[in-house]
Amino acid sequence: MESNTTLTKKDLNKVGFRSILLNTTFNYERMQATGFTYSMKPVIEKVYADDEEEKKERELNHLTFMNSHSYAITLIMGICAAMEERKEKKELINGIKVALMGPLAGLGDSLVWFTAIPILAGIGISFAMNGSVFGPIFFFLAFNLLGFAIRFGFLHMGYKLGIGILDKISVIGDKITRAAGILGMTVIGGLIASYVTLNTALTITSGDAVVNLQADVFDSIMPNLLPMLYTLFIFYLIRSKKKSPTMLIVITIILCVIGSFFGIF
Amino acid sequence: MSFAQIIIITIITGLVGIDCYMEVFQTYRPLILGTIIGLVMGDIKTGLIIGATFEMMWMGLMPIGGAAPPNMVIGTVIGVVFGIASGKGADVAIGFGVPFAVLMQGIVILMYTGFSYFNTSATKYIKQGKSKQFDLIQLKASVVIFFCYAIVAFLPIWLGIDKAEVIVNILPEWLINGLSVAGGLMPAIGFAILLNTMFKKDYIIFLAMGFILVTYLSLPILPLAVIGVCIAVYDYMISGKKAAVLTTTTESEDYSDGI
Repeated sequence: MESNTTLTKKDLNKVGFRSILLNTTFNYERMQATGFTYSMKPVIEKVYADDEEEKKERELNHLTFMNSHSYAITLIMGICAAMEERKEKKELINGIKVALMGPLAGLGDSLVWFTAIPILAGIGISFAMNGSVFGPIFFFLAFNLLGFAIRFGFLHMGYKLGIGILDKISVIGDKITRAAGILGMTVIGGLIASYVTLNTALTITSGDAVVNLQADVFDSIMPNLLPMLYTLFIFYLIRSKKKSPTMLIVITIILCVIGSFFGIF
Repeated sequence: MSFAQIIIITIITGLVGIDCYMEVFQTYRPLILGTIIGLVMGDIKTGLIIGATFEMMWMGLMPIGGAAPPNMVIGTVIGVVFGIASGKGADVAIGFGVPFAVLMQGIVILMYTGFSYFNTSATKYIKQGKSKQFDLIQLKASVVIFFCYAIVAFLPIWLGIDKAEVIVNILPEWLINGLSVAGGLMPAIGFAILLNTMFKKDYIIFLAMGFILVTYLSLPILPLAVIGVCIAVYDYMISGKKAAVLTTTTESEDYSDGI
């Protein structure tokens, strides 16, 4: 093993920019393998510049299989860059990749898709619903700032930490996932109350008194009760009945049209 | 709607489709794409509102790890174009957008399958030492994605745009009302899927808190998120030190959002 460092910050940033194209060749067979190899190429070409055969071997090694979070995956690229630089064995590099891709995907999904998007989009939507273009602009800028911070931050972090990161990420990862879960759930509770709308047109007639179910009952006790109940109904269908999203959309449309026909909504 | 507008929308859809496949800049989120299409159609306000409605519906439908949900790009483009062209706006956008979103979902699955071809050519180029050719694979794939999206957007708009108003006018009142009610409920699907992916018994109390703060205090989402951050940070700090204490106290929470 040689320890002369050959990689510069600039080389790493090349990997970061190439990682933007990670998913262009996404497929069910090897998922992000081609994109991952494409991203790692500047590192491999520099480290093995004078050994054409080894270079090919290393590139083919990355072409096996890869699937992790589209942004957080750069952490693995950083670690791999550090290991390629030290000319570690291919088996070790593969081991690290396989060990990290699952947990990192989970961490990235919960941070980016399930926390950042609902919160930033929720804020953007609240502006958009009032007719303000600031909504989508805010969402676009805020999200990309975060996305690129993760992409390049994780890349350089991965490179610095090399292999020593394995234990650390599982400890911090659990805590961050929990904190993100709390934040996400709070915001989703608010989003349900703000944006799911369902009002019934039903009235109850007893003698001369006409009770409007929506205005007289629900709105005075708990205004957003019906939207919350419907969300929980869908949640139940997903969790217990394993219904697919497409099925849920179809069910919702059919229920609403039938309900409208009979004057319930 | 002029032919030039149709072409511009087709090109935008192709480019945004590439972004959607790559999952990078999020220009494909309905909130952003809906606004852009609304701008091209000359009715940015309707675009914003349809985009925001679709955004909530698709909030939980992320294309993660090869999962292919109904396609938000085609759904948004068709929904906004026909919503504006028919003059009925958000009420009918769901009805127009969803069938095409489901169609595109199938096409994306075909792309996920067919793109295995690029693995083979990548292997070949590395073995032959053709570095430039290998890099070009990314471009080739992007071109394929562009045309898949562009064609699926172009055909229905080009063929159907004149008939949008006619179609909508022959629909009975109860059907349009039903679609409009469904539009109001679509966000529930997005939120329920999010709930399912994040769900833990410990978190129910936070869901209830967010719901109650907005229902009774009419709190906007931004201040609610700030309150959420405070609680999450507090939990993060306390969970390291008092992990044992915390787990025993959180177990006694029950489902308490007033149902």
